[in-house]
Amino acid sequence: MSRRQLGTDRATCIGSGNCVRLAPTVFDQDEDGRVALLPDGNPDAAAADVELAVAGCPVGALWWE
Amino acid sequence: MISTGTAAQPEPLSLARGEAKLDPPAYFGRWRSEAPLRRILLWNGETAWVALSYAAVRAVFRDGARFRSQPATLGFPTISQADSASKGAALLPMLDPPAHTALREAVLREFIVKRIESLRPEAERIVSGLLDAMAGAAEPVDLIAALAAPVPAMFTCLLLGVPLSDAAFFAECLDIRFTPTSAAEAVYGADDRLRRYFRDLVVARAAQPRDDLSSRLVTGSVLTGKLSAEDAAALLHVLLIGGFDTTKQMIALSTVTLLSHPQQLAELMAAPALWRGAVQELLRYVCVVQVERRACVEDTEVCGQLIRGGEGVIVLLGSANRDPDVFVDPDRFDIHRRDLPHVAFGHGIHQCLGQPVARMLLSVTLPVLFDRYPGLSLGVAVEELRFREDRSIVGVSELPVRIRA
Repeated sequence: MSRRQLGTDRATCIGSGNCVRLAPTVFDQDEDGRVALLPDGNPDAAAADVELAVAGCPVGALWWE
Repeated sequence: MISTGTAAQPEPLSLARGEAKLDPPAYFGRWRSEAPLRRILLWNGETAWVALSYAAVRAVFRDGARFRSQPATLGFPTISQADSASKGAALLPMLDPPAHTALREAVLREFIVKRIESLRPEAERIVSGLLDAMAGAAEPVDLIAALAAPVPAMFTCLLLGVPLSDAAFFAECLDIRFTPTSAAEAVYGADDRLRRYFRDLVVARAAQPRDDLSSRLVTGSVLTGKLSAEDAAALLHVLLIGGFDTTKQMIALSTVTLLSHPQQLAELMAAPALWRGAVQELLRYVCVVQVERRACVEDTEVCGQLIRGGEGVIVLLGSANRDPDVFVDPDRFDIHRRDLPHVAFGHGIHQCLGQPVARMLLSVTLPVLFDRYPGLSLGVAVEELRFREDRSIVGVSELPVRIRA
């Protein structure tokens, strides 16, 4: 139903790990510590967690719209 | 009508706790309900702004280009005489990009959530050892000395790859360094011993790298020419400082908070999956770091308030974490809360690098403590606890507890 696109800005990401903690089925950190989307992650299935992660990102490196 | 001006007279900022020891000073709430930012009087007669609301605190933290962290910036506020004396230090939290970016980058991968979580068994071993040692102790036991202080100290040793026995040396130096009543000479001496320790460590790891954070920093950044040996040593030094008193006080005051909410503690013991949310709520509720500072370098509007270039802003994290616009019934401790993330670790590019360590150590230490000593109780009433009132990090110097029911 949702056509929202989940976006990440790795240049802005500071590797706080907030998103990984809040929505671990969707977000991951790569070997540098920066945000990575899990290939089989389904943001719609964890919508509340993803929204919290987007709102809580300390540097605004995530969006979902 | 002519205003007398008394209402506009800036009041001084005092971090002293009120009657409710687990809450930030009550006037934070009164001020916040009046305006998101407010002009206050500093110890030296200068004025600065305080950011009080969640929105204002996040806005200031997020705008690192206009709100600088470097203490040498014009208007950077100091909260005490001792604070103003240490203005020159160039530690990670006090740097702006690009210097900040390069340093943070050098250790970022060490603090990946999964990497830190994988060290849980090691943390459990440290905690269990300390709890074993407590078993025969005479009551009341000082939980700070027996557990809260050594857990982060020993875990830091483990991360850095130095002997766990060096934890006592770190504790001794940092205690002198951050006790406001320490003589200036003693402070410099303690700082110097630590500086030399980390300088020697960088040299030793460069000569003979091992499998630890210090070695990876040296081989990845110093030997490749990205960082000077001096910068690497300073970085290791700040990693030690950043996680030391903060985590210690979080362990101690989380214990106090949970003992003060026995029903929620019982819930946690019955359903350990709740600990994750409980740790998040403890961080919000206790919020050991109450104060951060910034200097505004260009006229900026924050939440409808114009802040001029050259003015200082004191960011009150504890106030933001109790903002009723964001947290339902904010002064209530509630492990089931699902509000927006708190700002106990800060926000923006300076958000605490070691936060996965703090969360992991709390989520290991607290359940094991209450599991091992189910009869744990405070040795004095919460109201009797002596909070340190002269530091920007909230804390108690001792925490007497009874471990036998």
